[in-house]
Amino acid sequence: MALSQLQTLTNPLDDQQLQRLQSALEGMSSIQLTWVGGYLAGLGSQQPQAVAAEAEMHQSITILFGSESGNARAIAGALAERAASRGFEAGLFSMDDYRIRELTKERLVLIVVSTHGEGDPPEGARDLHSYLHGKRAPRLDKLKYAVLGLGDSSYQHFCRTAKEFDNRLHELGAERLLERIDCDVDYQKPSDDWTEKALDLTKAHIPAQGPKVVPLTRAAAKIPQARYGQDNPYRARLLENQRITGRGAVGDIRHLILSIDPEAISYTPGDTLGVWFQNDPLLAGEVLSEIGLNGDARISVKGRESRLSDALLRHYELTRLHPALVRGWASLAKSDDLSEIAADQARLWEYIQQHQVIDLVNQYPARPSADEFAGLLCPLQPRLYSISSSQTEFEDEIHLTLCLLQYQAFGRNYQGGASGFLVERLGEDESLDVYLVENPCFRLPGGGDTSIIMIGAGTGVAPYRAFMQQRAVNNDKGANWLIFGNRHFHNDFLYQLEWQRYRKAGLLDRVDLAFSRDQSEKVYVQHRIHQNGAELYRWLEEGAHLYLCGASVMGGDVKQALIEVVSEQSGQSPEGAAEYLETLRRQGRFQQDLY
Amino acid sequence: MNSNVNEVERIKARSNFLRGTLEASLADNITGALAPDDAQISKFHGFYEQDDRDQRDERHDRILEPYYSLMLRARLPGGVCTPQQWLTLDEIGRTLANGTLRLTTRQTFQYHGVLKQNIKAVIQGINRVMIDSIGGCGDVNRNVLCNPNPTVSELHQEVHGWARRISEHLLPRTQAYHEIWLDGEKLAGGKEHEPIYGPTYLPRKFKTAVAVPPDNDVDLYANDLGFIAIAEAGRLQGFNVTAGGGMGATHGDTTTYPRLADELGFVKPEQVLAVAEAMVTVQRDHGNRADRRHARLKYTIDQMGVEQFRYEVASRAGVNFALPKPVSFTSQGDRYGWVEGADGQRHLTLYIESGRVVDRPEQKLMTGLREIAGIHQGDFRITPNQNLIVARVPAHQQGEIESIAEKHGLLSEGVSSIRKQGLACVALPTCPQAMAEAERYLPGLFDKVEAMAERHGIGDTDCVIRITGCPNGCARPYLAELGLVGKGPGHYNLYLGGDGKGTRLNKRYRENLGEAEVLETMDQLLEQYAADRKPGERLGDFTIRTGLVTEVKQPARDFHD
Repeated sequence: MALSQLQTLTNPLDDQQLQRLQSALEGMSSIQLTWVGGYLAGLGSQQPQAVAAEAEMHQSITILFGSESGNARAIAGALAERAASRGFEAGLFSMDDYRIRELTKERLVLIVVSTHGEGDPPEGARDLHSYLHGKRAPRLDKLKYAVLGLGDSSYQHFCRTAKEFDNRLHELGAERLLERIDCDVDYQKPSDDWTEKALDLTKAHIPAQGPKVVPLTRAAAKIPQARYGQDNPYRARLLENQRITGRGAVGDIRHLILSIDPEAISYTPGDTLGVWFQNDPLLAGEVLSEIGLNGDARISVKGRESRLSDALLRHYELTRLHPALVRGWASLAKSDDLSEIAADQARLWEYIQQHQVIDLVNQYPARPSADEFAGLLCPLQPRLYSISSSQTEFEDEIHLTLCLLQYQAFGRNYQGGASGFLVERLGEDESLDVYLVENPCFRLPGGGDTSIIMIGAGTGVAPYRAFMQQRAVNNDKGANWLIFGNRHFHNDFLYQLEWQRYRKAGLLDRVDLAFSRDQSEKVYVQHRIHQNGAELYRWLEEGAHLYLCGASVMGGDVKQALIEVVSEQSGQSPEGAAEYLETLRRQGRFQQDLY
Repeated sequence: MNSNVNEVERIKARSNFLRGTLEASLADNITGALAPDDAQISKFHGFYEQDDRDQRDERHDRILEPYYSLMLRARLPGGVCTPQQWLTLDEIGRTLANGTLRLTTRQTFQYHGVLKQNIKAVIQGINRVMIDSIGGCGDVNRNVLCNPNPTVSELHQEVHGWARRISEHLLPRTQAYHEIWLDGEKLAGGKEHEPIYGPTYLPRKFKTAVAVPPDNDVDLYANDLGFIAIAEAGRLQGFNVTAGGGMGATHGDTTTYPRLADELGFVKPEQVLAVAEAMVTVQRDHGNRADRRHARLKYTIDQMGVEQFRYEVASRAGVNFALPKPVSFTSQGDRYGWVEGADGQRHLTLYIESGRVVDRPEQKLMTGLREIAGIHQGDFRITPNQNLIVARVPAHQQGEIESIAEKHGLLSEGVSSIRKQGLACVALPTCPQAMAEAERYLPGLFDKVEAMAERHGIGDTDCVIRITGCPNGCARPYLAELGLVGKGPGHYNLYLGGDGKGTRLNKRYRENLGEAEVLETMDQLLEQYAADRKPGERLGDFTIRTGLVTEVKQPARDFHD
């Protein structure tokens, strides 16, 4: 049953409630909808009085999350479940589903939020974030709150969004219930501890009233949920690994085809795939021999004993450095040089960006024990890749489009950990651990008649391939416009033959290409946006959805170009143009996937 | 239109005087290729669509279209250009093509690897120095060859003037080239007129050469139309006119064959343009438009008979052919190194392997020639053997130019005369016609042939070896003493019996030899030649005298015997 049909049925919801329900459910996959259905059923059966009481009721605890990869959502869900099991009334909301004006009525809010890209809030947290930081932000003197941040300390702006929420709420007069915690990639234990602490303190402020709200996660337990996740990944098989850049290309970009069971993984165009990888055994061996450690040494990893060499392959980051590792190593190596670097934030980041673990142990000799060394290393993190296929077209496959990260420096060759694994070390027909990360903020329009403009550079084209497959299968009538950029026409026009076929078949209405190195002056996608400004604005005015995917730097340039184009075409000020785009974004008509 | 005509004829007919949809093809940014019709029409504008055949399959696997690029061939009558022009050509080659210039057997240069988006810039670039590419390829009169020997400078200059005039007289008149490439004003429909060619141009390519005996470096008899300059006491009297030469043949099709031109008779200089035009219009009206394999003038003449053809040309041109003057050719090769002309100016002929002007670690041809062009006050002349003459150097600059040439390894000291006489066409990987390697095969093959010749004690032998990747004959293989013509990957037909002067066709000696068999056969041949040759006897003459092959006299009948 389509949501739009709800209105025609006898239903107890008023228009506003219906609208909210519709917007809450928009873009959900069938699994999600089933899940929500189960949740609502559970809610209805266990809380017969709730409807009547609701008008006056404010949850005693409101849990807000802003999630990009799903981790914050998971922690917030667990938090809600524990709150309920302790007898608190708890409301759980994604920040973009939460009615911002309610904030002034809240007494206690717990926030779980990740940080994305270059220190930006996740897509779903942006509205609340900018509302709180804007002029319209209310005083929140009655509010008590606590913030749990999620991040990856190998990025420069570790947990910046959490810090900003924390500081800003404090500025607005709210009272910290508990010090913020910034969780790194190995967040499970610290977040559990923080959750317990937060609920302990809550008890002191708000008496438990019995489980009047059924926590989401308990309801979830009753119905089928995604079987596979980050911690229990699905074992996929690599079917094909095909280079798709030409001979002379600088970038080695691969088209990978993974075999999956469609019963196990169900994905939608726009989704991303989390991939667990193993480090390069040669690199691990080199690191060990540099430090003088025996790979057979036993260490404890997550409470289990493991050979050190195995742990370096499977459990620790070897290709990304981390501030704590550099600091710790500086004191182990008793190096003044390195200590100086570690003490200077800017130099430390520069060092981290330009080096890997092998450089550190090579440049600053030290002899830690196996346990000491492992204790400094960062837990291995899965990497996320945009899926470049549609399951409607390739039911039992997932296609990925990724660039082998490799470079030379200090007289040696370097490779990215995950891309090196996927491209060079994983053989065809071998298995790898993956899990689906849904990306509800990057979705085709609900209606097939809606036109779309797809802007991307490099591997940013991946989801658009999935989009086109889906639109072709659906026989969608909406027009499709691709604006793609890369280095050279001959070598880097990813999926060229497919785009040609789509255009020949009349499915791809416009293609604008920017190959930066084919002429003396560099040309990028933002130049094509400028050149086609009038047309682009016309498409937007006629209701087209706009997508932007690729590296953050490109994303910034493109957004600036879009503001300029809208301003030129509409005669608005740049601020007005930015607001225009912002409105599109709020309406879900401007979606971004930047990394 | 006659329903019997081939597809290219239809394309020409609907092209609106060579416009086609070239502008739309250029604007199509999703492919490096041209629309199929335009890939035919573009030839008249001087460029071919090619792709890197080495990469074709691999790129398909990579979801990429073939590595398309364009090859642009200029019109440069007689191969003469100024140092200023050279500097521009060089710069365009480095910035808009694949970093090389390719000198051709038709005394012009080609750019390879030009991206579609850059083709207009290339054409505009050469236009800035007054060079165009009209009719560089296509079914029109191609670049006119002219003996570049500058030593008899006044005569050469006068003859070269005629080559230039013939080229200009036979240019298509359509404004399409100026409209599309040079942003010329668009002509309203219906105003175009091609007085010589008509709307469908010629049935096939048409090649013209002007020779100054005793040099036959232009391989005069391989051309559709030829003029042999006749001079008395250094003064130009007129030309012997020849017609119906051509190299191209198709493997396995004995109705196709290379053919040497027939002599029609002697004409005065002022009759040259009328004769050239008449020749073109006879071919226009009588050439075969059904089958491109039989569309060259040589077949038209064999069809009509020489006498009828001569009569037709004479009456259209309004001339009477006098009896041809006796001529004698001595060589089809180049003379390397410095020579001094009658007027005291100096000329340096540089050996350019396969005509490829490129910087290599051991030899910086491109850089060296650029430096020479920077100070040179005379001109450059591309020879029909794909070499380059730095011509008209005043005596006082000889040393300076010599030292630049030496610094960059341009002087071909130690290069054997076998190698210096050799020719190879471009072939793989870019030429769409190629069946086997040629330009890339030549250096390694010659290493081995030189070693063989040394072993047989004839290291200094002077013989003409030519290699082409297909039977169409760009490097005029059927006039070589030893010709290799590509049959399939790594396989060649071997031809023997040219006379080293370009006046006798060779004949197939062995078919479909693998590379090892090629070497083995050549080794036996050189061994026999070293042992049994008469004093001064050339290899080609030797192979006929000893009956290795029989002389071809009537190619329509005896080339395929």
